[in-house]
Amino acid sequence: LNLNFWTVDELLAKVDLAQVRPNIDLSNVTFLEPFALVYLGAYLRHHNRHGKSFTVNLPTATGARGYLARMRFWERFNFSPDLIRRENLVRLSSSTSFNDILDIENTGNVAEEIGEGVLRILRSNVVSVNKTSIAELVSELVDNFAQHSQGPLAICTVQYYPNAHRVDFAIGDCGIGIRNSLSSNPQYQSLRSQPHNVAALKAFEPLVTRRGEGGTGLTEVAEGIRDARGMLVLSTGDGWVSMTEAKTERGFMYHDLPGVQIELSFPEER
Amino acid sequence: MKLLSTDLAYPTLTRSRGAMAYLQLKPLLNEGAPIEIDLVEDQPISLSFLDELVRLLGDSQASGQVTFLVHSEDILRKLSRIAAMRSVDVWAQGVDGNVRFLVPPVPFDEPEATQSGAKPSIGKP
Repeated sequence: LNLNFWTVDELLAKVDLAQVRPNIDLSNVTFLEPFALVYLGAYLRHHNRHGKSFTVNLPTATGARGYLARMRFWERFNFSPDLIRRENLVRLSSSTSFNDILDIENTGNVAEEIGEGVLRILRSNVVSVNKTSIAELVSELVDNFAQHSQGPLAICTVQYYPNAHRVDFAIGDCGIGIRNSLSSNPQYQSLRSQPHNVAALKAFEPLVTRRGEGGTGLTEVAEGIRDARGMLVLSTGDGWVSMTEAKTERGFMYHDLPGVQIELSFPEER
Repeated sequence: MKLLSTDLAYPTLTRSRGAMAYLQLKPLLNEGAPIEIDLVEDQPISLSFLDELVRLLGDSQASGQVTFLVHSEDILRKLSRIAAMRSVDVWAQGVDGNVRFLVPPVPFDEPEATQSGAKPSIGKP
């Protein structure tokens, strides 16, 4: 099973949360894409925060299992975020590796730090993408999470797939989500009774934000992904939105997870 | 007076840096002289950064005093989007040109979304 945007919520919807210690069965997972990593992490953090712990059947495939270990995934997500050791709040320590999970705290310059870090990594690797554009979009997204999440931490990860000629960036949290955030602005209060996917689409319109002066981050991300002929997928609550150059779609996730989880996929220029 | 965007704020990636750039610019604007801001080519300049700077220039009715020196189509596109969103006159000049021009406002595309029962019908690129 390739765990990705298309499959991760379906797998987690099968977890019986009524049990004292629910079981998450990852035994068939052979590959994890960034969206799934971030979604699974946000899921564990959300439920850990509410006093729930899980039994996890680890992947039998050694590749997937080793990957999670190298990410220090269980140390990072199996506990309350307040207990993550300081040294494990990873900050792009390597200039060459794409494969770190990074924590995003609500600090003044976290968006710049991560945007510049991603640019440094893209420049030091032979990846044929519009590097400055990706760094700008990453920075816009990280800033958005730092400003609006209202959760303790968001997380992000970047992966390069040389064989698929693609760079994926995923970011997510288990904060208040788009609908709650936007509807706190009296102008968008009516979104409170709308599906999550409607609120999510609204957030991509220019100047739509919970703050007074209006924001542009997600609008720019949508245009950037279309220009790059890439793909954006987003989930918030039980809603999803996808965007490509050709199409914008919305629908319902199998699982209702608080917060926002996003993945951007950029194809290499050939 | 000619300034580099990186003289005003560094890096030029976020809305808060755009506000910082405006604060740096404010005393110079008060002197009343025209100002050129060279949007340097080798540094990423985000839409949020430019939007906040232009918004504050518009609010203080100083946008006509500033000319942005533009090196790329991408930056010009961003300024066009901001001019449309904020209804602010934005002045620019190409690096090779000697005529300052009013950036044409071009609104963002807002594609219609279709509702889907299943996950997206198009896969990753």
